[in-house]
Amino acid sequence: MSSQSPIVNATARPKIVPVVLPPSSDRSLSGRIRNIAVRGVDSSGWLQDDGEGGWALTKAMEKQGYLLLEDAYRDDDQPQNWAAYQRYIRDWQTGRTTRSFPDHMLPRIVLERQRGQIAAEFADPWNLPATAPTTGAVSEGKGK
Amino acid sequence: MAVQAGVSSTTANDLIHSSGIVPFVITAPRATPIYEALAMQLDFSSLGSNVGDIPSWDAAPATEETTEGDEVVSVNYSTSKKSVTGVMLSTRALVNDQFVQDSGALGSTAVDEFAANIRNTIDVGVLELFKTATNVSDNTGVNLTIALWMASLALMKGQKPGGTICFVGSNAQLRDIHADMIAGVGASQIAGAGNTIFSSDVQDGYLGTYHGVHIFESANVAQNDGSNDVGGFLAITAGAPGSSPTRSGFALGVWRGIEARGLYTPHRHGVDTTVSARVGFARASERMVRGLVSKRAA
Repeated sequence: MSSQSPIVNATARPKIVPVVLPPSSDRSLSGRIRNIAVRGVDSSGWLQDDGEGGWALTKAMEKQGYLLLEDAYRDDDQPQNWAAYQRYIRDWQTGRTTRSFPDHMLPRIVLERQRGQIAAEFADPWNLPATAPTTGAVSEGKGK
Repeated sequence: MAVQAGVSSTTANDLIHSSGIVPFVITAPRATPIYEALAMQLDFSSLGSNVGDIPSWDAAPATEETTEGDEVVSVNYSTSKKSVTGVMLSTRALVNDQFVQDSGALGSTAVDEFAANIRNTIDVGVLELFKTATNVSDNTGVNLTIALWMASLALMKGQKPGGTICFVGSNAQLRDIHADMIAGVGASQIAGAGNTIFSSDVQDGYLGTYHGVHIFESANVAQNDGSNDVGGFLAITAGAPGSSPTRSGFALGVWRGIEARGLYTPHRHGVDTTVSARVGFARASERMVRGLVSKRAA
């Protein structure tokens, strides 16, 4: 954590650092992106000053499987989409879009996490989502 | 009938102001700050560091049974800490001599506006803490319903937060709760349990209670992306009336409160004014906070 005491202009837009949540058997959380707003210092407890004017995940968060979206794009086969995501952040912050970033432009590792395609250590059967309940009756389509 | 000649606003228009100004200024668009009611404020004025730590006891350690005659197992009782890092939130502007002289308004009128901006920024910073809470009910892309809200509330209670539970929702999240009361849950909710918050004439801020939860609404609730908001539940222990909570899942470290400092600069004919607060934000304890993500668009 930075030992400096930065000064932030109150009207400045915060820096957005997108972080990908770790793989999880809970599909509502696995691979979700949290766009963390940083105003001078990190208040989330997730990030630390990387010493180069940017932000890196703390070691503790890395160990838990958290991932910077920027790093996910760097290792992706479509790294140019990181620039698109940065444009998306600008448009979102300035109110020029009210939509989420298109799924198909996310890095492959993020999509896999969101789809539940996760490593074996996260996929113990007792942690996977339950299958839909069934009555056991054979249902037939309506009409002809 | 012909107009009679004389002194009129046309003939003597030089004696009349072209326009007059009412003796007040309408405030800038800004949500009602609610952090004073939600965050515990920690006096770090004598801390001697830019980082303040908040310790808490971890859950009681697991142990094993021993048989009669054997010795009791010794276990570690551990603590964890959350850190608050200070930042100087500032806004600076020159309050011109000409402005003060010609407007008839004191310079303090403008300085009040600077301070309101800082106060709003603190509010935004505090509410941002929901987004990175360890415990989150993520309904990305789904409009909030009372059922989803209740499910998240139950999980919040399962975190054993203690104190009084508050819910802070965005305008869209409260819209969805109200809409669900009408469409799904029925009019009995509006007339009964939901009456307080449904009928509240408060535009934002504190709305009332619902299912034992204190409901707040704010446009300062964070957006997780272009189409999803992230509000959430927060446990507090109220302080004396008019004061901030004595305990809360949100901590606001205050190294220096909101202050205005000015330096008269004769070569610019004005007071170079900076309003700032040295503060920091953190969740004091994860078990006292639960984020709730839901879709913004109706």
